[in-house]
Amino acid sequence: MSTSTGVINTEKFDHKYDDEIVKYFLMATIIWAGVALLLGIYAALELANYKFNLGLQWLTFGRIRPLHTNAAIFAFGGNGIFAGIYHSSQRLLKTRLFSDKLSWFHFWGWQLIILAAAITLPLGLTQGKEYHELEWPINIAVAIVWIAFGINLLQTIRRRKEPHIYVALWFYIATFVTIALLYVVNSIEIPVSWFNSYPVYAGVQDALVQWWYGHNAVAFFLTTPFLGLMYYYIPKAVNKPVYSYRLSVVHFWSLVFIYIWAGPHHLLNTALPEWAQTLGVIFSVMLWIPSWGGMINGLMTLRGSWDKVKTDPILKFLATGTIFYGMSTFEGPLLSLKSVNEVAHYSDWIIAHVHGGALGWNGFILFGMVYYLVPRLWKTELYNKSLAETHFWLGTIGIVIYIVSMWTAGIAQSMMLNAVDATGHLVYPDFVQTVVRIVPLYYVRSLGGLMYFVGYLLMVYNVVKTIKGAPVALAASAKREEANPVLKLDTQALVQESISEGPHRVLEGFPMVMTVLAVAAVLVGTMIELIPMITSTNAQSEEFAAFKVKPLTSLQLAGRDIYVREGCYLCHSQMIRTTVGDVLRYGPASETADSMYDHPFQWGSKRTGPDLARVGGKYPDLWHVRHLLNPRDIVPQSIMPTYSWLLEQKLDLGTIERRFSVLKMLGVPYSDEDVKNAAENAKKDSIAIAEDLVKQGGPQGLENKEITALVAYLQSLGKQTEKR
Amino acid sequence: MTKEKDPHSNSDNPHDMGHDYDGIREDNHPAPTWWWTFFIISIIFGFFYFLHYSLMDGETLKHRLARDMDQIESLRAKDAKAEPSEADLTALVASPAALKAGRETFAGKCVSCHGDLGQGGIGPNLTDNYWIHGAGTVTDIYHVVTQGVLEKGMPAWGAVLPPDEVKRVVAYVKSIHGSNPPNPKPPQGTEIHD
Repeated sequence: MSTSTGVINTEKFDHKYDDEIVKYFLMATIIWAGVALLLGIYAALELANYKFNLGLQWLTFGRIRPLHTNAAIFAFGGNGIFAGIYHSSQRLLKTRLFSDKLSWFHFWGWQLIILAAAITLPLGLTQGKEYHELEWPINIAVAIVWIAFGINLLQTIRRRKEPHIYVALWFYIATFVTIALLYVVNSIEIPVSWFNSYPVYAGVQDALVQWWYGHNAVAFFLTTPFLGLMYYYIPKAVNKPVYSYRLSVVHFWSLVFIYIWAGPHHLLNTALPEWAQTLGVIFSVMLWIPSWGGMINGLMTLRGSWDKVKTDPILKFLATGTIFYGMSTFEGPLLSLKSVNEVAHYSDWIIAHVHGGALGWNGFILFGMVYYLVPRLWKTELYNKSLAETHFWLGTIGIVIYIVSMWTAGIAQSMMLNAVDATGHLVYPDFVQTVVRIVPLYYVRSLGGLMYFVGYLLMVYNVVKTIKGAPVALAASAKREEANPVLKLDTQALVQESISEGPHRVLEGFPMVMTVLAVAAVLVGTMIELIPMITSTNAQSEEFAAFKVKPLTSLQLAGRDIYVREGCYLCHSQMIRTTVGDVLRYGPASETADSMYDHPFQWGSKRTGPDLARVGGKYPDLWHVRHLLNPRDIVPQSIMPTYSWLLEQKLDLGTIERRFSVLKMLGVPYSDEDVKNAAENAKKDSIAIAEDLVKQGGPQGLENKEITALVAYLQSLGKQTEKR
Repeated sequence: MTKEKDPHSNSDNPHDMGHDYDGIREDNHPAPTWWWTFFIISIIFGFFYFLHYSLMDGETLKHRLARDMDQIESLRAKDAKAEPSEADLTALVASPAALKAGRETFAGKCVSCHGDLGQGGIGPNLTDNYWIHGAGTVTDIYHVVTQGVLEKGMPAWGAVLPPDEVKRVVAYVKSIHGSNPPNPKPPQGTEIHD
């Protein structure tokens, strides 16, 4: 017991916590949850029927999906973890947050970033990297606000009135340092203009850095902080001791060390070098048991209290959330096996997997936390417990409908896409034949999402009623203490006191040392995977010596930027995997050289439509123009939106020289001449394509329109690489 | 490493560590045996998996693909009988069942460029007397369909469609010759009369 150490007397400490900031983050969590869920339902309906975007470019799936994922992860999830971390840390450390100013800077900074995302993403201002879409000025803002949060957290820990820090705080620390590392490394990009930039990494390097980031954003933004919340709110809500301290120690460190390696499992069977794929597989498999360590500790804390779980909606949400965590972390390693991944990757199975995690684990932990916090912060009772109960059941059934429909859709479509008949030909040679079969499931999925949303609305009503019914003369939030000094520990006494419980107990008394060790743990996998890739896979290496790769012309590059802007990569991959199904359908497997000048890479992660890696030359220009104008004129059952504005909007070549010179600086072999004449060449090429379209019987007057650039880019795909 | 009980704890709970954080106490149950067992198995699996695929001669993905594609090729070789004769194809033109199947394939694959009635669009009119590649015999049509005219955007359907389906769609194309659909694309190529 801490009081027995003689280091500090916690009993006499008169702690005054800052709960105002917790309330604000909690309200932001609730509000943004609604936005994220509505965007999700909307995006789901857009896939069920293309007409839902109303023909407006700002609302196409390609621009709405990034907004949905960013809102769900960073707005709903982000505000939720900040609320929980600020609430629980003050109590676990028995001290007020380090700086009120920093807390408020953190709060408003984060909301402004979300607002900036909500404006820029529908406008098509994007980096084209998943969960990292925001452009460079917003990247900088995110980094600054995140570091403000980190300073606030670490400085609060230094001012603690407890000699040791609890397991929840280990997870919070790991969250802060690792996300800072991931975000900064994946944000190294060269600006072209205020809202346009190119990442320094290209092709396979960019793919590996991006999925090292993307996978670990799931690990350290949607897992570690939520485990911390679980470790605080489950024992608090059930009033039982945490099951196993030693399990906490083992699963914390194994999770932090192993998670960081598993990124390449997003790139299985692709052109990523095989050693990296193999590392991705084995570390994903090894991740299963450490993840379940967290689940066991959460659920076993509830042992003997299942009668309470039956009657308490808070515990229902927290326990079920933890079960969903266990489910997702079993499914994850399974999906990381190359053979399973061949079926699951690029399919709706992955969509089912992430929503099991997001709706089940993240959503339910945060809802449980909301029901726990609102009555306590407003010092009253929950308005209506049975409404919360209904919320729980609507949510649970909604998730099950969502997951089962997307499992079915994903597996069914992949089986159809990979089916080969006795003559060695594809059974379903047209991609759309497989799409029409799963469209009904897209409606079913929307229904699951809708149920989850209705449950959420009940929570909003319940929260509003609870707060309205709270005592009016609520004392103003606690004032800041005069002095909040850094804890002065008698380190020798602390070590002596703790060592009998093992070296880790000592470490818990030295959080800054723990911070450094956590950084070291994540740096091992990071460096072993990223450094060989970044240093070896460049234009000069032997890997590419067998190929001659033409860089894009200025018109093709302008088209590529439109491809990124419209979010084409969210439904179309550019990666023919080393699988029979892919090769029969799309042509020879993609080589790393194919994307060696691609800043950013566009391999994609989901095929709602066919792969485009070798679409160049497959159809005439006019085919593409008519297809983009109305996909159903070409493929009657297509679910792709119309892109009529591409035929109307003038091609913006204002920054094309600058774009060329940035790429030249990054190693794309453009001559000074190419850079100087970029705009001139693009205009010439655009006119040539437009004239040719008229000759083929197409519409007049497309010269200098965006469509010519996009068509030029599509026609380049798969045509740039030549074997030497 | 850690011990079961803190000497200062006055709890009845033998697992209690004596830790107290905001009222949260910590027990120290051992992790379940199966948990450790599976953890160790997964690490051993990882070790040997890496050894096999990265350091020893485990089959690479490209090798596996090549092996699988050989199998596909042998399936195709077994199926690819001699090229159909003019008579074989002509016989299909007279078969209503073949034409019906051919029309379905045509609707799925060809209408986007050749129009729903073969009147032409992005691609040439298939119903008039003008031919660009060959002289409009069933064998000529068969060659264009199987090998494509890649530089003009006509795909090589022989690699995509099973041979029987190709034959039926060729028969269908031959059958609509002279059907005079509305809004025909102006003639392209050389005029040839049967």
